[in-house]
Amino acid sequence: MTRRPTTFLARDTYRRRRLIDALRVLPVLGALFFLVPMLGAATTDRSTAYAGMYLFAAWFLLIVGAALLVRAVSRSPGGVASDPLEPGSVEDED
Amino acid sequence: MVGFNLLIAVSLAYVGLLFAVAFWGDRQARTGRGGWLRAPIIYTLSLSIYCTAWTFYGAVGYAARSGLEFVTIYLGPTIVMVGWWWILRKLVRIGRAQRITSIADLISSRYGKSNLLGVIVTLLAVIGTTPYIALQLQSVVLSYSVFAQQGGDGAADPEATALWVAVGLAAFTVLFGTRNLDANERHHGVVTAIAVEAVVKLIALLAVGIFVVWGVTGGPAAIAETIHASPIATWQLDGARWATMIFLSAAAFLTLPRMFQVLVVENVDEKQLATASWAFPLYMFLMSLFVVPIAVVGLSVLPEGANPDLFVLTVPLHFDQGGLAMLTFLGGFSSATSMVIVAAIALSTMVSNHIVMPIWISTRSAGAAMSGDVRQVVIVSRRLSIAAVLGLGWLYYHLSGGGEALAAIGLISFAGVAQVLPSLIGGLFWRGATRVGAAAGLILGFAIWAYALFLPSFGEGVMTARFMAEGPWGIGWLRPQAFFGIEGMDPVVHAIFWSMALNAGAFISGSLVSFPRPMERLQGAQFVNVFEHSRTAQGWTRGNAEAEDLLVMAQRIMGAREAQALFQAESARQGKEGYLPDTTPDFLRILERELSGSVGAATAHAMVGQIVGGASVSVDDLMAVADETQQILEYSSQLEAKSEEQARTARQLQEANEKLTALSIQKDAFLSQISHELRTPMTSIRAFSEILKEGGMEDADTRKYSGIIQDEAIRLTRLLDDLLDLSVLEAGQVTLNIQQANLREVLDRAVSAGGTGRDGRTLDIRRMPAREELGVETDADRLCQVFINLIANARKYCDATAPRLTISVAQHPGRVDIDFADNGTGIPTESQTMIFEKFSRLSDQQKAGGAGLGLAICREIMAKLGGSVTYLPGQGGAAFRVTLPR
Repeated sequence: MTRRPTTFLARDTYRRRRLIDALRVLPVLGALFFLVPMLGAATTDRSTAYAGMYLFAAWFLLIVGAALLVRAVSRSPGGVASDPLEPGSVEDED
Repeated sequence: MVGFNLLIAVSLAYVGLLFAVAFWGDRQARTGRGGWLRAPIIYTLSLSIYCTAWTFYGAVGYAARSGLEFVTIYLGPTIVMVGWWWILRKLVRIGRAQRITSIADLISSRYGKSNLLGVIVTLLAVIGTTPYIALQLQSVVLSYSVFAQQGGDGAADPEATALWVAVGLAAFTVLFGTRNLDANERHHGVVTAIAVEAVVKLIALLAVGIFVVWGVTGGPAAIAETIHASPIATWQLDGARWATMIFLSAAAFLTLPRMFQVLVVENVDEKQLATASWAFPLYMFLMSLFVVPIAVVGLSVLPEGANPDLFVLTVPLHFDQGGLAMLTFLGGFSSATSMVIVAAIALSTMVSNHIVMPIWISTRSAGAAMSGDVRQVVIVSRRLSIAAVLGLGWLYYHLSGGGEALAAIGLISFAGVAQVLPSLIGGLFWRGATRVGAAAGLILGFAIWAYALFLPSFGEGVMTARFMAEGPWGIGWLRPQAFFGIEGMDPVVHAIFWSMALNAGAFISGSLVSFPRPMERLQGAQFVNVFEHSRTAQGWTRGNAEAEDLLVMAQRIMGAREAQALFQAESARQGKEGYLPDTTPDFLRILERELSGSVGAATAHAMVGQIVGGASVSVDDLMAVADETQQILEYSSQLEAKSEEQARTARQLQEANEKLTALSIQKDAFLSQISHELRTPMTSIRAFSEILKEGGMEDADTRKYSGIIQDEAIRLTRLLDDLLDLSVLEAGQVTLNIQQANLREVLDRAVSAGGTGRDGRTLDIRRMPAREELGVETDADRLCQVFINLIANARKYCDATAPRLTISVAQHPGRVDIDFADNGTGIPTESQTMIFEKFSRLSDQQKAGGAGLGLAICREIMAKLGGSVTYLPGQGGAAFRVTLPR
């Protein structure tokens, strides 16, 4: 099966912008992960072992996510040094 | 069993190794082989100074006391790191664009290079960091004492140990931390040593963790069992404290002077940050992975009352793992020393740039930058500052006696430096943030922190129990740990909540009500929009500084070689190699930025200002410049208008001159013509009258000769009549005989009078009589004279083989146009302006016979009749239009 030709221009730049959006969301996601234990904490006591496992798992997931995103962004046009959403960057000239 | 002396030997060897590593790293960088020093992994490892002895030893103690809460200290920085695109990236970009040397420099530079803010942040940092340095010294001393007790050698004097450690650290920091004056240059030796220490402490903690999990309990499942059985099996999470701690550690991560030093100042590339954004959280993850297992094992195997802050050491010792304990000791030692070294560098830069240098400059008002060796002063002040910072740390340790739980003082220190956060974040994202707001927020937040958290930590000696319970002078709502009567809050949460809330409130409202100075507005725009223009516009308006003075000053600060290289590069850029560069505003800006890398933005600004003569931008300057520009614009447009006018006048003058010259030539020609005209008849008259006088002639001859004399006399008279006529017309003495006349009749008369002449030339005159039937109110005789003149001219000058004159009449409201157009070659353009002038004749052809007064007379007559006679170009031949009013 052949892919139909697409009229979508600047595919790489578009993808890069979305990757950067994901980078921006990451800390919010992290804060959510880390604040979840507060829910219901006033009424129940939790097991240190299980809560610890949750925290470390969430933490590790966040690190892996950050590493993958940084890797993807640094391979996109412009690398990690410039943000296409900001005026004056290289990509905006096209 | 590890002997105390062996421990001393090992730690001395380790210190020797660190010196060697630092020395080697510096050498690598110097010889240009230090490319790997820029690798992101080195940057990541240098960030590990966040994990101090407090976290190395204290995290386990923290976990043994309050379970999982210790992890918040790492979760905050993790959020900041993975969110690097928001804040850190901007911070790093600004740090490089503005050559920021410290957190105090950043705040000072952002708010218009305000030295006041620099001093406030410096003081805050010193006060917040000193207890922390004391804490590191204490941890080293404690760990020594553990081995001393274990070895039974008797405890060494803890204060002496602390003193020696402080002295050793000061020596290391002075040696490797003040090699380069330019704080923006990386301290390669220090960074290399810190990277090694980072690896050592990670390996040490992992080793203990692995030993505990697999060596002591037998695997993860067994550890989970141990946790379940431990005193911290249930996690009683205090939501407010949990969230506050995460926030606090995130804030402190950004604002701690030492973290700012490694994150921003030592950063050379945004790629480093990108890698560190996940690698450093990973480092922290590994550092905290085994904290809870170590804590629960320590709680279960060690006797009640053992200090949980030392479990990392005492657990391996308990199981007789001397080598592991030694490694752990080195890990803890590494944590302490690396933190102290970087903190001392960061603080000494701040103290030197924001306190010592401004004082030094102000004591030498007469050209401070010019007198004395500034470079030496900066280096000495920085070295003294390092010694002073470590001395303060030791003094604090000495005075406090070193008995408290480690974690408590760490949090207090965090809360202190976190007071910079509102000004920092506001400065990065809000252009409206002002110096007044920042100062208000910082001072208020700092005061509340000191009152509600820092001073109470000293216990009874500073704030009595009664004071704490009842508030100052019995004012209940001012109780240090229950502001506004809100009780029951955790003291740390209470202090952070109120200090941050009121700090941010004062910062925002102060910014809203105050006006920024122009420099603040410039810098604010530079910071907030750093990605749009990484170039700085620091606004030197006048370039009247002496390049030589600047060079002398720059050499004293940056060193002769660097300064000369900078000036030469600028000369080359300006295209005047071999000379000193012009002190353009651009160059002053570059120079100031280079200098600020050495002495901080505010000081560099002041120094350049001294030489340039305080020419930095102010509102008045801007206004004056705007006014001047406006005036210059107006003036130049006036000049332009004037010069246009002058050009017009000049053109007119030139035209007039040409006309005059032509006229003068014509006049000369006319004079010769008129003398000729007068002379010819006079000659005939004289000759024939002489013949008549001699007599003896026949009657016929006599009559003939008399006739000739009469004709010539008539000709003379006519010429004189013309002249007289013109002068009368011009003098306005003519009287007009205005009456009703028929245009056709006037034309008929003129055609019959002027259409034929004695020269025998015939002119074909074409008319349209029907159109000519018009009644006009005018002087018919004078009008006829004009027509005759025009017809005679056509007859005389039309050079066509079959001369033809077309007379056409056109009626318009209020006027009648009578056109006389012949079929000749017409009048050349350059002569068209001349033909109506007196004495003008297009050629001195003899046949003209007139004196060149005809058209001049016509013009005068028509003007008197209220009309005009003009040349009508573009009609094929010569054409004149006579316009009559109706």
